[in-house]
Amino acid sequence: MFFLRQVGFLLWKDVLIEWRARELLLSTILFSVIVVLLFSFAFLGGALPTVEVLSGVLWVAVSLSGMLGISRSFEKEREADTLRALLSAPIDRAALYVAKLIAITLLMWLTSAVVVPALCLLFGLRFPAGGAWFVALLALGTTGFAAVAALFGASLGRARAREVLLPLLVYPLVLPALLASARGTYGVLYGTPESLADAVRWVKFLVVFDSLAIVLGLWLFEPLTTQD
Amino acid sequence: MTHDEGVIRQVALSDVFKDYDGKRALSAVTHTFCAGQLTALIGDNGAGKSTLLSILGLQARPSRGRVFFDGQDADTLDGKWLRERVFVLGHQTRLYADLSARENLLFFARLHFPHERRQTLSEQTEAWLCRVGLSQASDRPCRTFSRGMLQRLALARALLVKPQVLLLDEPYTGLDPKGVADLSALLVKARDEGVLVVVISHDFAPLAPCVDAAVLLRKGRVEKTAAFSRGTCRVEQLAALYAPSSVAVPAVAAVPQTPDVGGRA
Repeated sequence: MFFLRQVGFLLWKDVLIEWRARELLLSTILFSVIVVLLFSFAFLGGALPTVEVLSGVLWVAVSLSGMLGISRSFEKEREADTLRALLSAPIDRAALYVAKLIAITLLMWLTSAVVVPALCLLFGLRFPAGGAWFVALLALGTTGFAAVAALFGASLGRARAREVLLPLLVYPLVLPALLASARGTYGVLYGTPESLADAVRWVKFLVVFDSLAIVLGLWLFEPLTTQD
Repeated sequence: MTHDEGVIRQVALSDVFKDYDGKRALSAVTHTFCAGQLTALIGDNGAGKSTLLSILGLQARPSRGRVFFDGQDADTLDGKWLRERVFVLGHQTRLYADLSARENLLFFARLHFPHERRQTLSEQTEAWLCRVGLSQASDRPCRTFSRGMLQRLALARALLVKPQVLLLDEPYTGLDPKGVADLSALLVKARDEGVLVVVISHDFAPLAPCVDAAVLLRKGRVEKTAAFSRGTCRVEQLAALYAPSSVAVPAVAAVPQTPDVGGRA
């Protein structure tokens, strides 16, 4: 009960600060729109890209902008040393991890909510069937990404070159989730019964990946955030 | 058993070394800090004072040596239990710029006392805002605060959570004369209530009347220690302690450095 309450306090703080500053959300969304626009310019005048390419464009935009937002989110905590204040507070470190995981996931979901309509508008993205599976893939893919990023974002502490280290650590570890999300998205967009069945298999894979990532995050967050 | 009772009476450093990137910041530091005493940690810039405070405050681990809380190795104690009782106020105020003074205090109070009713914590928050003279500015975002106001708020947060070990690094920074006097009064009150207080400061004038003991660090080593009867420490005594070894130290009683790390108060 206290654990959930602590998660609630920490999440309330993150949401309130973002609501007032609107710094992370706006910069992340703007960046994701720029990525989609750049891809649209690349295909300007030619044939519309295939669903394989569209699936790739979606996950490149979401993962790049997500990393930008996550990186800035932890940097903001470090600027005033508030991350140290949180780590010094008598809270379960796991509560801090869960709160950061939820905050990052929300940020990525909101970013996805802009990227998908942008793809529909610029690339004529359509969902012949399996819209619910598409939402599930987006939700699970971004949650898996956030589960790994939240762990390393806080644990890098005051390491030198941490802005460079964070993507170097996170991208290789979330590669299975990104590949699964991209393949699953392709399956949904292709729209045949066989491809949809394939997408469902990738959704199941993502459920397992997310569960493992969250369990490992809860387990490793305390030792990784202990100061030297 | 202090751990079970929940009260910290003594914090001891035993042969503590700390290295940063191959550079030695602390060498063979052995000293005991007692509850109900205010210890001034003095020394030149780079002497290792802040490093020592970080180790006492469990924000850094010694490269070698041990930290004991009432004779129990800090490594064997529950981290959450220690974090409930030890508070460090460093150079940075560690406040959220986009939250108001009231929201900052309430947020940290709720983290420290999750079982407490919101109403009770709100009342305590208001009381501390009043005590540090920030009632009028309580709804303003902290980004609009001056350095002195941030320092007052940070002090309110430190004392609001009722620590048993209070470690302050240059707490007088940015405070106006009234703020300085208020802080000294708050430190004396905390000390008298049994809190173990350690203060790093180069500003001896407001600190001296509160000091019960002093530790001089030089090049990462404890060079001198001194103990004073309550309320008798003067600025000149701290200055003399701080002076090079050839200068005589008037009316300073030397105290043994080697603590009984396994002992109980």
